[in-house]
Amino acid sequence: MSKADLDLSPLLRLLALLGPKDGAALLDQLQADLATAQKGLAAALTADDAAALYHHAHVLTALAGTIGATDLGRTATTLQDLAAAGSCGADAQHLGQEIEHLLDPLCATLRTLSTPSARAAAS
Amino acid sequence: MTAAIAPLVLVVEDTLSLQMAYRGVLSAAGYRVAVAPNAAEALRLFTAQKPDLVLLDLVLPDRDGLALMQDLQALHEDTMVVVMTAHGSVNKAVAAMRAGAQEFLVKPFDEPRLLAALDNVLGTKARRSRRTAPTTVTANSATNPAGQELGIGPQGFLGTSPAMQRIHDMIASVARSMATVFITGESGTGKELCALAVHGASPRAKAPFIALNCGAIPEDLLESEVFGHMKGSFTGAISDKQGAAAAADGGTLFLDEVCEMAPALQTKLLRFLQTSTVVPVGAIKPRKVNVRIICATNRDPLLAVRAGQFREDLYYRLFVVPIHMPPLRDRGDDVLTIAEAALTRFAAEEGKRFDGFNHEVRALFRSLSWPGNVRQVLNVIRNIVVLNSGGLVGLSMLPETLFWQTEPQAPLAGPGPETNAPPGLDGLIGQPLAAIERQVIEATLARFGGSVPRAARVLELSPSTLYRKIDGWTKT
Repeated sequence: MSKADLDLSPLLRLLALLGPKDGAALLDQLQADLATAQKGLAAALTADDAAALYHHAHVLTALAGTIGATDLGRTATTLQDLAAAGSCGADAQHLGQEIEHLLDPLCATLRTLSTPSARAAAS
Repeated sequence: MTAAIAPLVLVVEDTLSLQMAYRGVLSAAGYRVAVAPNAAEALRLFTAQKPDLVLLDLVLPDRDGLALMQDLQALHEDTMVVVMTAHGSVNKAVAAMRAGAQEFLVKPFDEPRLLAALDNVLGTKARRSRRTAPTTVTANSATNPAGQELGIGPQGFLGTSPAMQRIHDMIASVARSMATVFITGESGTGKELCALAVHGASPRAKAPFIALNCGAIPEDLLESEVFGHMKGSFTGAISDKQGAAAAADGGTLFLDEVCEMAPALQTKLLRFLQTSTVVPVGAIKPRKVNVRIICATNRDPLLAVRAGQFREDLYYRLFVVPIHMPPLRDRGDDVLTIAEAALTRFAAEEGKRFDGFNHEVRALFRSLSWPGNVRQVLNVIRNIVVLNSGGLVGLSMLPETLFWQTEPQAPLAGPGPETNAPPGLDGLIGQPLAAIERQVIEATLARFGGSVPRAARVLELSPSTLYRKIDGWTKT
């Protein structure tokens, strides 16, 4: 994930607003929600379940936007569109894999923000 | 936030981290917050805690958010709902606005936009509950009393056609919401009247209705007209000026011919819609205002978007509740109702007495396409009243321009092989001139499918003369 694909400023503002304790809790929860969506996405693609795929892609779109992960947001949005059209086919599978690749470095970045000094460095 | 008890916001969102984000931002802004992860819990909390506002995600795990909103509104008619949606469900958000939501926010989470939206919605609610007695109607000079010019009485639009009934119903249902209304329709169909009707039926009815014609103001002055300016901010700014947006605070801002707005100002309008703040030209500090936007155009706004003349994001921001004003030709006998009302009113203004329209005029009015719509009807009636002394209005009293303007151009080339050949002179000799004239006129009418204006054009007669002749034949 390149720097251009990740604009952390809205998230950092949010973390500053929440304070150290709640900010740390939010970071943990963001990672947990991303992981849940990732698992849900994989399961939906395996089960050919467009409704579930739509739901998890919707969650990922919102989370990516909140974090500032442009690439992930764009890919999740496209997947959401496909799922809304009832598709779990090859294109959806491909996008699912792309999301997998994008999520790993994103979660790693979120982990690095767990301390106030790391946030200051990131901003 | 100055209220003794902070407003309670019920957040309906199933993703935990987003719940935390909303809770954090809203609490920091002074709101009390309750959170429901699904529709069932939302209904329970809504009944138990009676929140001032519901912030609702439209995609919920157990139920459609729109259906939940309708249940909440059934429980409490005045429920204020702000819907949230991610890309892909914008259409649903638009549907939610039509169903009565006050505002919609497109995810991702954006703190200033969220707070501005809540502030707007709750501000309206507070004004609604504070208003116990009628206040003086504030009307800015920019407001055009279009009703006086478009044949509309104080009771609203004239006409009872099904097309207009649909408009009445739509106005009634959209008025109580804060949803932005986008009115489209041909020139002269009453778009501004529609905007006035929405304002008049809304909780903002006692507040200003400010109309601004974006196509009539020079581009370099438009920003100042909308947002105002400070003294000395540019040559000619000799004093502070309040813009239309600030003048409409608490009321409605009507932006007519919105597709004519310059691109730079479109950006500023979008920003204004997102933040509800105005920054007058030359000012440093933004000022918060609360206005409902109604806009109108006689163009197809989507075509303007595709042509790159109108910002797509602004289009989606504005095109929440579209109302298409039907052209007069699709309104059946409304044309007669409008014409009769106008005749009575204009006659009274001119101190004359008219006895209505004869059946030929009524039939003609029904058959014309009225490309200028209601405005054209009013001009025709005004012409009749001014140029005639009174009595029953017949065809000969109509302005000739009516016929030329409302009929498509007839092909003036000679008759094609499929048409009947004109009779030779031999067949005419020995007949009275009047009979010959009648044959020629009838043949010409037949050739043009019975269209009097087209036949009159070829015969180089005025249509009213032709109508008079035809009228004479039917009476003999």
